[in-house]
Amino acid sequence: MSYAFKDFHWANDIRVNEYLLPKTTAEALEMLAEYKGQAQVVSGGTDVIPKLRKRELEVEALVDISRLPGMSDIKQKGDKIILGGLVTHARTVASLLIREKAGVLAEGAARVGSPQIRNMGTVAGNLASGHPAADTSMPLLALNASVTIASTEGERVVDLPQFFQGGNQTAADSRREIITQISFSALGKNQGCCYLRLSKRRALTIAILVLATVVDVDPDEKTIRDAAIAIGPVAPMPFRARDAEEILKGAPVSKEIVERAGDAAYKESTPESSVVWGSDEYKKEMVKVFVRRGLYKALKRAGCPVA
Amino acid sequence: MSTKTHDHKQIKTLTKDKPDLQGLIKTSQMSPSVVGKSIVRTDALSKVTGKLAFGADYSQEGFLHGKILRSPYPHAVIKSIDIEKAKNLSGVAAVLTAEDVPGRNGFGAIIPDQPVICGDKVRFVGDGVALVAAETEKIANQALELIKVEYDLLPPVFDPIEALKEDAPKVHEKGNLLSYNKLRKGDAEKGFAQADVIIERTYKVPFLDHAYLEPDICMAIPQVDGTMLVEGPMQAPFTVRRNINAVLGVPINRVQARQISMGGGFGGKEDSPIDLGCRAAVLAHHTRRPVRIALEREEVTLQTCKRHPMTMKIKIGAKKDGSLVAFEGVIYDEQGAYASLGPVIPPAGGSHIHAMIMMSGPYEIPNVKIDAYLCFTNNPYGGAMRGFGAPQVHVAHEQIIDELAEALGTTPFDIRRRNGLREGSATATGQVLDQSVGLHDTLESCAKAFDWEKKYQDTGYVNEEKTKRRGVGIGMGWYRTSIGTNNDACGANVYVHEDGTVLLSTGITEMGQGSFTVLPQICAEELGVRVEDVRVARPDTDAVPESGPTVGSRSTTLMGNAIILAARQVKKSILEMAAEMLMVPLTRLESRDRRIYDRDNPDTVLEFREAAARCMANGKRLIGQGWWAPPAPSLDPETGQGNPYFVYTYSTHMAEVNVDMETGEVEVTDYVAAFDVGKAINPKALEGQIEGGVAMGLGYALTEEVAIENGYIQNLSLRDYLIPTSLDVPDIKPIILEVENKFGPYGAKGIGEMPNLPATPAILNAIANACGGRVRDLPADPEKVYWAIKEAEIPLD
Ligand SMILES: Cc1cc2nc3c(=O)[nH]c(=O)nc-3n(C[C@H](O)[C@H](O)[C@H](O)COP(=O)(O)OP(=O)(O)OC[C@H]3O[C@@H](n4cnc5c(N)ncnc54)[C@H](O)[C@@H]3O)c2cc1C
Repeated sequence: MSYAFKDFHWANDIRVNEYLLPKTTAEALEMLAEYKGQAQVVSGGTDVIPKLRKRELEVEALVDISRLPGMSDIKQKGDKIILGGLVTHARTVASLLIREKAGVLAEGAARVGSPQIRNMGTVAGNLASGHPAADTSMPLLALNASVTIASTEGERVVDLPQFFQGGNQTAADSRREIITQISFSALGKNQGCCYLRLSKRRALTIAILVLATVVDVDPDEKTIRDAAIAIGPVAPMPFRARDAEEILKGAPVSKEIVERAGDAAYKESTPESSVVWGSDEYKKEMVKVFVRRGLYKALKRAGCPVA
Repeated sequence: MSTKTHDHKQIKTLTKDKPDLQGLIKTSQMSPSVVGKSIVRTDALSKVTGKLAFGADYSQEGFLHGKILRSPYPHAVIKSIDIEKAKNLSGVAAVLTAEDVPGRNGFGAIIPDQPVICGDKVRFVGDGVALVAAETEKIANQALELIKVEYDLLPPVFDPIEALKEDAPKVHEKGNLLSYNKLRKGDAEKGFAQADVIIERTYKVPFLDHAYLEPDICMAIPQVDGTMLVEGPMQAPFTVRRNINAVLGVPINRVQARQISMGGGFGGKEDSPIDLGCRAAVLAHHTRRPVRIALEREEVTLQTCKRHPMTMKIKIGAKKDGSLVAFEGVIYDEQGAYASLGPVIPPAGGSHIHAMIMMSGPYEIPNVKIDAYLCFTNNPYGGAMRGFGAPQVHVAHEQIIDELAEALGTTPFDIRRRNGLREGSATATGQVLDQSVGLHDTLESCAKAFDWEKKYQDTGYVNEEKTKRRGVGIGMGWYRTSIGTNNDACGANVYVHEDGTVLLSTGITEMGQGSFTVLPQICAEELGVRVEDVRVARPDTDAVPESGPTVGSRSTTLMGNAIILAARQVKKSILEMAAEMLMVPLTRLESRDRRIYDRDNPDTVLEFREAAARCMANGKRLIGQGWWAPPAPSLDPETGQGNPYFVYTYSTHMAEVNVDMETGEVEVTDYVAAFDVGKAINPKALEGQIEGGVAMGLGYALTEEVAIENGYIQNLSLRDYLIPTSLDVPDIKPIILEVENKFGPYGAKGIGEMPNLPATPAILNAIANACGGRVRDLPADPEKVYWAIKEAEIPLD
């Protein structure tokens, strides 16, 4: 509630000694290794620079990966969509592939900040920020995406639920590692998705609530095969409403089941109150409303609307 | 507190009062050639190309960097302060504490109650307890961290009503009641006895930040002759000078305040340059070196003034036919830690006084009783912000009028049409409005353009899912031109050169409102030259007459008149010369578009510059100085009756909103704003003021609030303090009406502040109309609207 000294005595200087521009991913990883945790990856810089300014982040060097080759493409391999580690929000929104096969991600990326922020900011950076309300984290979480993380020790693949560790921490240590790609299955027939956002103003603001839903239906039986509901910020990290999802799995498409899912999500979410961003009580009420709306819309898009 | 009521005295009308002030409107028999034209703003190109240098762009070479050590507590006694370590840090030029202030250790726009450096106690989080100047900002900051201060905590008070209680902690020795004023018109008690319907409501508005784009900056540069030059963006260079001279303990002529380009002010840069100026000057005085203090955004939020929060209690009564009979109001106006611009400036200046005078709205009500309290607390302090004292009460009177209309079973439109001020009406202060009252014109033309009748019928759900409802609302408003004090004069120098070009020097500053375009238009019109022939000099207290602050929507009208008076002196001289040169009687000469000619024989003509050059050669006057003050304001301290302001601008806004009934989100979908401005000197620039003002009023309604918890602001940066973006602001349709002001240049009256006043309640009323719930405690953000809907629980179709 009160301030730390630095919060009301502004230094107006970003204290880094080196700004490094590697030519390849391997070189970037070596630079990071050399600094032994005292250097930080910077990509679009839209999170890093404000943090340095506020001295929430203090490092000796920045390793700028934004010009590394081969990580700026969006590709489809089989039924997998692969997003390079440097793909920006603007590129994501503009991609026909994403809009058709992962609409929920395009919708989320479109709501990040402003045109300037979307041109600079990257999807990988958004994930790596670990922010519980990050606009592309919820869609990717609902799409069951996984990230590929590289270091001098090699590569590993982490699924999103395990990627988020709370308190803005993630499985990718941005002082040693680089997210090289993000992949997930393309949405197809009988699948539908929806992204919703609640905020105090229409642009350039952190969301009070972000929701992403993906449903998989059996149109003949009019049942829900599978459902994913990702919500933020209602927990210390991007959150999957598992209880609500369980209620939906295998259930017939109905108003009643959607209401029940909303109630379950209401119960399992644990948002915090803040004088600026609102009460926990309100946010919980909104979880209920959003889950309902998100499901109605996703079911409609999957070709199986609630009658 | 006296409860006796006073008879309504007829107050002398203004025009008759001051016949010598007439005649400024019509200055030529011909229609104006420059005034009334939408010429491109003189600063537009340099601003859009980014070429204009603001304070932060100035070279820092040779400057020391000044920093302020701030109090971490809202209320505490300073026990000890140890600056040794900080002083010994290499690169530090000065570390100053209270005893180092050479003159008066206090500054303030009205009362110098804010210490330049606190010596005994601190009164809000952010109060300055030490000053540092160092070779770099980094070193200055390190020095701050090395200063050790010991505090004894005092109990704080954060609520103005709490602050008035006997046992409340005292923020200042004299107690927490800074000012109390009252207004008594007719007999409120008798008035309520005649009423068929009486309702009572309480409305609350929070601290608001100006959120001007440019963070504050000030440069103090000691001159070789001992003068202290202070440069920075400032709305009131003369008030800055007046404070610095006292703080340094030198006479007025030893301080020079010079205005540099300003990136927005909205009233905030009336106070903050005093604060920064005094502190930078004290550091420069000690080090004998130029010192700059540049604030970061968070520091601006912490340190500078805000719009006053108010709690407003109202009781209002009307007869069945809708006519208003009585109004009773109480205002608790929170001043915060220091007096700043809050307190009474006789007869009718000050935050709570402005609020009191305008509280019952632009309506004729025979019986009015208002009590206004201005209280100290340990929160940040209140100052002027676009409409000083008026935006708050507009939120109250415009909402209660709607609530009353509902209780009466009439409509928001009809109740306003019945009770709105007209020519001949008496205001709450008993002022009889004898000229330039276009309120009803704005109501009618706004309704027409908005299609009110149809839209008012056509509310209800707008989508298939029945989650969104449409509603419409009216906000009516009025606002003074001038500040209501006895110091309201403006002075201008007009200097014509031998080539016919003109240097116009005034004390009015440009902060984005367009004065440097409109003032030269008036000057060019009066002289008969083109607007591009007139250059405006930067306001500099060494070079221009004292003109008061650039506030109170006074610049165009008051300074416009001063310019006309100055220009006339020169014009007379030039025309006399031209009469000699053309051998035409003076009375037949006309000066227009750089030419002087015989009205009866237009071929007898002379270039304006030729006459000017001859004046120069012959030593005939080419410099004029005009000074103009509006008719003297009056306000009886016992009754609050009088003529506080000499003319008012009137306005009606209509807004359409969609409200999401499940989330409380509000979208403003349509907007019309009509104004009676007397005369639009530059219609395009005026529209700019209207659009910006409406956007600001929208922020007040929907998102803006300085969120303070126990004295600590929780939203210091613009990430968390939310002003509207371009996506939040609807298309605004401005309507400009001209009901001539007899005292204004070409008939003009003020417009700078007016546009944001009716905007806030228009939107709030539209929300209530849409969803049935009403937010009486701003802002109406989604959560507040959501709970208001829940609370209302009215069955909707
Ligand atoms: C004005 C403004 C508005 C914003 N609005 C929104 C908004 O509406 N919604 C939203 O979600 N976010 C918003 N943000 C936050 C930010 O823009 C996003 O999180 C963005 O996606 C971050 O991407 P970046 O490339 O700029 O990351 P950077 O700032 O470069 O990095 C962010 C973090 O991720 C790490 N990192 C980046 N890339 C990689 C990588 N490939 N591998 C490993 N680590 C990496 C960095 O080390 C750092 O810790 C906003 C920011 C600003 C300044």
